[in-house]
Amino acid sequence: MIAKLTVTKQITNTQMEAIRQKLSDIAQENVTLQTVIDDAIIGGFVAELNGKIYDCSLKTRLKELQSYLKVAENDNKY
Amino acid sequence: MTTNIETISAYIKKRLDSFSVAPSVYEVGTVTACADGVIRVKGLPGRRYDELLQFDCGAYGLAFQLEEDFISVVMLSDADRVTVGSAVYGTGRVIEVPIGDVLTGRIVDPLGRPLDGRPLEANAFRPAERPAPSIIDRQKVNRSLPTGILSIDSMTPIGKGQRELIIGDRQTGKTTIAIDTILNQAGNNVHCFYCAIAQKASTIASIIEELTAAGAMEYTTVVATTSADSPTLQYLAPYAACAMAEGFMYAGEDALVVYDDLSKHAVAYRTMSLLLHRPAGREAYPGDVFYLHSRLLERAAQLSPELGGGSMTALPIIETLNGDISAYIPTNVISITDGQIFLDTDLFNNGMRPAINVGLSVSRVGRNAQRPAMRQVSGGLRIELSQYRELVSFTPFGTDIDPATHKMLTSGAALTEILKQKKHVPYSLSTLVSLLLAHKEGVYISVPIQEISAFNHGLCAYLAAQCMNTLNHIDVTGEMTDTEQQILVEAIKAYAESKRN
Repeated sequence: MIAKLTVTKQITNTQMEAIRQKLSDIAQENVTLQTVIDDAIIGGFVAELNGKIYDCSLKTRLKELQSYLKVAENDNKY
Repeated sequence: MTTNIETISAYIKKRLDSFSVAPSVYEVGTVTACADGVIRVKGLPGRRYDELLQFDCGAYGLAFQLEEDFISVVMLSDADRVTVGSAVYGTGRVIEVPIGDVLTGRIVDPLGRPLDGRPLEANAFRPAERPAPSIIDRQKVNRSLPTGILSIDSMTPIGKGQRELIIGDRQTGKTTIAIDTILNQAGNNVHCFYCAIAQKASTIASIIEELTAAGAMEYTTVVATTSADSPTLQYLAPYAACAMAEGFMYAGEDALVVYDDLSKHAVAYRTMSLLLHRPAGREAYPGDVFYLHSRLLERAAQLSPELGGGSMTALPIIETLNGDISAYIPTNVISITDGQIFLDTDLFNNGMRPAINVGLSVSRVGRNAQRPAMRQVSGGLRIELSQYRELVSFTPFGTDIDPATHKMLTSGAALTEILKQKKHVPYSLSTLVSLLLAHKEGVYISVPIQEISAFNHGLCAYLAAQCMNTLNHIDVTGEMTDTEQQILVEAIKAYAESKRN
């Protein structure tokens, strides 16, 4: 199975292997990584495997933090 | 100043501490085909029926058909911006519409987006599709929703929480009755919604103008879809308007929704179903076209006191072809609603406006929903009219008519004449009661038919001058004591006397 990995800059082999191993565990079969360099994600990585996106990018983290801070502490949105 | 900054930083730091850093995992699908506003998406196995999906280009669609290997998505807008191969994400949400006072006086689309050029900030939302109130949640319809139209309020009265269908051919005054009902709610604390389904934009604009001119936009919201909007938006419009009205109903207030019209709604749904290759049934409508309307109309109710006692009254409009009320969609909706107001083209063309066919119109909630003053004076009107209609068909035979029959003919003709009403001029309760009292007293027998309209005009002005207190009391309490009735009758007789001389 092929997984697409987006990173901001070239990562070390150790890091790549760690991600590949984790994705293989999730997919229950061997996974090969296709790497794409894109600094729009600011940091971290985004992995796409089998129709699912594993978003560990800094960009999304910051966006979630922004929404989180905007909501008051005891606010019940629902 | 410094304390403020310190407090704020401390607060932000505290919030940061409780922020979780788990990565987000979500599904992504791919568009494999786009045509006719229906997009085929591969992947997204966890999506549910009617879920809102977001496309790469920012457009939204509804997961309308879940098949084994793909999802058929109907677009809510911007169908032309979706390209094959682009990504689609689930949102985990269903369509929600804004509710609350922010909607009053606004013109919105079924997704709650403003169409009148100003931003709309809502802080409360409701799903567009909700189950109807259960049996236990309801109570009997026993409060009047006055339309201000003599024919309706006296013989087919509407109550708060009722569904009354307005049905007739094109150009018979269906929308006018609905608009006049909205106009008559001024000062009654009823939140009105006018839902335009696939109407001409010019028609919607003129309706909004009429509502604004009469000051009705102070308590009305318009949910508008034109015939240029996608069938999906047209399909959603009544559910959105219903959900917005439900927001008020469950808050203990009264709401009125006009669906103009459900025939076009059924056509929009048929369009979507055929494009989704769903099996076509009678007249090519899909098999669940009854459910389409029943689940919408069942949400109108009078809630029990435990739930706040709020209500939603529905006035669906159906357009018939050639007066055929036994066609598919009309019979469906007639069996769902609590009565119908049938508008006849022949009556309309003969100058009878509103062109209500009293014989075919019925209100299954009936006199419980009338205000006491109206109940006192409106008995026997239907029978009188039907007897008159029978007699009229015999008079051309030129036979000698006995005085009793002659009286019935004159009285019936007068009654038919006073039932005529100008459009956009709803009458107050006291006016309606006065006119019916005048009829009961036989005052119109000596007035020539063509002068009845002017007579009534003068009568109302006279009563306003002579019995203002009585009229106000009737309007405010909805009741009329025997003394008050006496006062009015005497004033009416005095006026009639003065006109005779």
